[in-house]
This record gives sequence, structure tokens and C-alpha cells, in this order.
Amino acid sequence: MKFWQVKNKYEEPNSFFKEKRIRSYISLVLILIISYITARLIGFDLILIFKNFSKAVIRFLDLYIPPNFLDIKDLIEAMWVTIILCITAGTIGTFLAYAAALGMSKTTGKIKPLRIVLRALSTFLRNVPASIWAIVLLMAFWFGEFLALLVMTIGTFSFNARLFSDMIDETNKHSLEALDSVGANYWQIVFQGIVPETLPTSISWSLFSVETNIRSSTIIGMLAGGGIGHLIGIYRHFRKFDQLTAAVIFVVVGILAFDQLSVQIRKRIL
Amino acid sequence: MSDIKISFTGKPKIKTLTSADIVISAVIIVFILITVYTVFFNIEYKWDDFQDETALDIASNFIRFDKVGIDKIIEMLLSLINTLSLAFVTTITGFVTGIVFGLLSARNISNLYLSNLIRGTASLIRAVPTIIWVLIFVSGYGLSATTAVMGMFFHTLSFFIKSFAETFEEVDKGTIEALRASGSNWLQIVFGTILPSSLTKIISWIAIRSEINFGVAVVIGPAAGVPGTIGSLINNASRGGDYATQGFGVILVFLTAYIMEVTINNLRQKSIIN
Repeated sequence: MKFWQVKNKYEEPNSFFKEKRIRSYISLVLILIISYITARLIGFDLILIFKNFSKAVIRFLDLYIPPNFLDIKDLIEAMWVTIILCITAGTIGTFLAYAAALGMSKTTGKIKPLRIVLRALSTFLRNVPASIWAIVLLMAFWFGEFLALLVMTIGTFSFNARLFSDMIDETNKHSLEALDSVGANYWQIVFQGIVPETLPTSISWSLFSVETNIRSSTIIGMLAGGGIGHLIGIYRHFRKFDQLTAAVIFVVVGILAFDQLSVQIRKRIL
Repeated sequence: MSDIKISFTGKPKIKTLTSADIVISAVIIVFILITVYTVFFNIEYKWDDFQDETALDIASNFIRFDKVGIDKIIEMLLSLINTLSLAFVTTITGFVTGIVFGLLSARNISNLYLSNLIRGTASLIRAVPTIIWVLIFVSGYGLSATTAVMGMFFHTLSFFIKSFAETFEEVDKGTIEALRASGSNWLQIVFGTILPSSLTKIISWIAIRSEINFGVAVVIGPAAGVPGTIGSLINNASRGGDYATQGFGVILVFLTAYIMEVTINNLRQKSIIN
């Protein structure tokens, strides 16, 4: 080999692929080992699942099927409360998130300390699951629809605030510049330039938040009270599993219906 | 330009109302009406039940780590590891099954009927909340980690089916056709082009699902009664009035989730996702 020739790391053409293959085998083995250790740590038993599967299915069918629609009046009322609570939390949370996003975004947030505080607040609220907020606030507020509303509003607010601030950052700068050059003040730029451009996407995200709220309403209702989740918690506590199935059917129908509704709305506005 | 409309104030109308505007205003009006109804007429505010002393206690003890006993700290950290393991095991089992069903439901390499069947089942699974899946399996497997994994597994599976199928469908059509033309069978197409070209996206989806699963694993304890996760400890501390320990647990959960979020954002900035 001459001195000016660059030495190839891979002498043979196939050694590159060989090295790659070895690396992927090693990572695969590592993942397997970690899974085995973690599974042992928490006491997860894969064999038990297959061994007891038929037993579990039979027990499930025995306990939960057929659904018992004895308290259908209560169920309908609870579902109605759940849906309006979720929509209310979605609306309030979205409004607050939009206001916070105006302060958080680099385009519109002119006060730096406020920007940092809002960003930190939304990051903190977002990264702690909503149900943990339910547990934390439960001792002060006690069970009830108001606590459920509060927890869902926190969830919607923290999730949407970051999305909206990213969205505002991505708005078309030229239209804002044009508004600025014709002498529009701050609020005129916000309401004539930023709001119209971001409105359809925000509506779409607020629909998504309501959907998420309906999904999480079961767990929040169990922990914080309010709506159909509270009923599910009660049924579980008193071991009325056939009525629990009826409540679950209500939740599933509610989620699927709202899903379809939001798909239809999204198709028309985006 | 004869079709300029004049508004009732006498100014020319610059913008005409489109159907999208009407839908948007309708949605906003309905949402605001429901909000007003709920806030002012529906909710029972039990202000008599509001414990202002407790609220003050919770707030003042939230970051008082000096009040947390060393045994509590060790217990919390151990249960945090437990929670992370729960999320990891669920993600791995969901991934292994999800990739098989994801391949079967990608429209470009699979049968249309099979794909629709799998997708329909997945969306039905997703409509049932995670906590309900856990409650269902409690009847069969008892209150153990196995139940928690089984309950969380179904949502993870349907998430992976949906996201993987979408990822696989974005794989370049020409490459698949070229492989097909040169006589490759299904497995060779999968391992030759589908998996290698969507590997980075798969990794990001796994990261995203790990974050979601961690959040679910935290709350699965207090809601379904599965022992050993950090949520149960926070719940116990809250019920026992030990607000310093509760605050410590919440901060731990926050830090873990925050690290995960930062990791995912880094992946996203390397243009791995989208």
C-alpha cells in the first residue's frame, strides 16, 4: 500500500455489514437481558398468562357478562355529566392554554420572565400524570365533579399550551410583518394575524383534548369522583361487575361517537 | 368586481363566510354554551368541604425534602424502578406483537381485508380505557404485576399497530416493487426494505410509547390496586397526611417523565420523527 492511499477501515467489502450485524445482535441480546431482569423484578410471569388464560376468560365471562342495565337512568345521567364535564374542561383548558401560549411563544411573548415562568409551569403540570394531580388535590378539595373538572382542565391546559406556543411560532411571519408595517398595535396583530391563522388547528386540538378527557374520565372519576368513572369505582367496590360492564359499554360508545364527530368536524374545518 | 358585498355598517365586506368558518363558530358557540351551563348550573360546589388548612399544608410541604425519612426515600426509589420496569416490559411485549400485526396491517404489503380487520380490532381495543382492561384481567390473574402488564399491553399493542402500519405504508413503493420483481418472497421484502428503512421511526415510536406507558404505570396502582408502583406510595402518603413524602414522589415522577420528554425531543430534532 502506498503512503498516499487512504486506508480503508473495512478491508473486505462485506466486513461493514458484518460489523453492523454484530452490533444489532449485541443490542438485541442486551434488550433481552434487560427485559428478563425487569420482568423478574416486578414478578411478571409469561407462563402464568398462557396457563391461566382459559381460566381468566371463563371467570371474566362469568363475572362481567351479560351486562346488567339495571341502573340505566343513573348511567345515562352520569354519562351526560361526564361528557359536559369533559367539554367544559376542554374549553376552559384550551382558552387558558391559548392565553399562556401567547405569553410563552417567542413571537408574541415580549416579557422574558413571564415566558420562562409559563414554560416551566406547563412543563411541570404536563409531566405529572393527571391522576397524580387528582390524588394530590383530593385531600384539599374532596370528591366531586369540581375536582374532576379541575384535574381535567390542568391536563388540557398543560398539553395544549406547548402545542399552541409551537403553533404560534410557526405562523407566517410575512403577514405579521405586513400588519406591523401598516401600523397595527400588538393586540391588533394578535387578533388579526395570529388568531385567524391558528384557529382551525386549535379547534382540532381542543376536540382532541375533549376526546382524551373522555378516555381519562374513568380513571379520574375513580380517584376524584364525578361522572361515570365514579359509578365504575362504586360498582367495582361493591363487586357489581355486570353493572360495571354496562357502564364500560356506555364509555366505549361515548368515545367512539365523539371520535366520529370530531373526525367529521375536522374534515370540514382543516 | 361587482360582487363586493356591503356589510350592515356600510363598509365593504373583505372576507366572505365559508362553510369552514360556520363550522368553527358553531363548535365554539356550542362549547361555550356547554361550559356556561356546566360551570353555573350543573356542578355542585362543595365549598364547605374545602379544607384550606390541608391545602396550605400540601403546598408548604411540597418541596420539604428534609422532612422525608430516608426509608421513605429508598422505598420511593425502589418503586420508581419497579414502575419503570413495568413500563419497559409492557412496551417490549407490545412491540414484539405489535410489529407482527403492524406488518400484517400495512396496506402495501398485506391483504386489504386482513388489514381492515386488524385495524378495526385495534381501534375497538383503543376505545376501552386502559384502566378497564386492567380491571378485566384482575378477575382472572389477581392483583399482580402480570395483571398490570396484561391490561397495559392491549393499548400498547393497538398503538403500535396503528403507528407501525402508517410507518410501513410510507416505505418507498419502488423498492418494494423491485424486490417483488426480482422474486423475493414476503419475508425477504420485510427484512430487505420495510424494516431497515423504517428503523429510526420505529425507535421513536417505542420512545413515545415508553413515556405514555410510564404515565399509565404510575396511576395504575392507586386506581386498580396493583401494588408496588410509585402511584400507590403517593396515594398512601396522601391518605396518611404525609405531604412531604407525597411531594417528593410527585417530584420524582416529574423528573423521570421530564427526562423522557427531553430525550424524545432530541430524537425529534434529529428529524427522526416527521
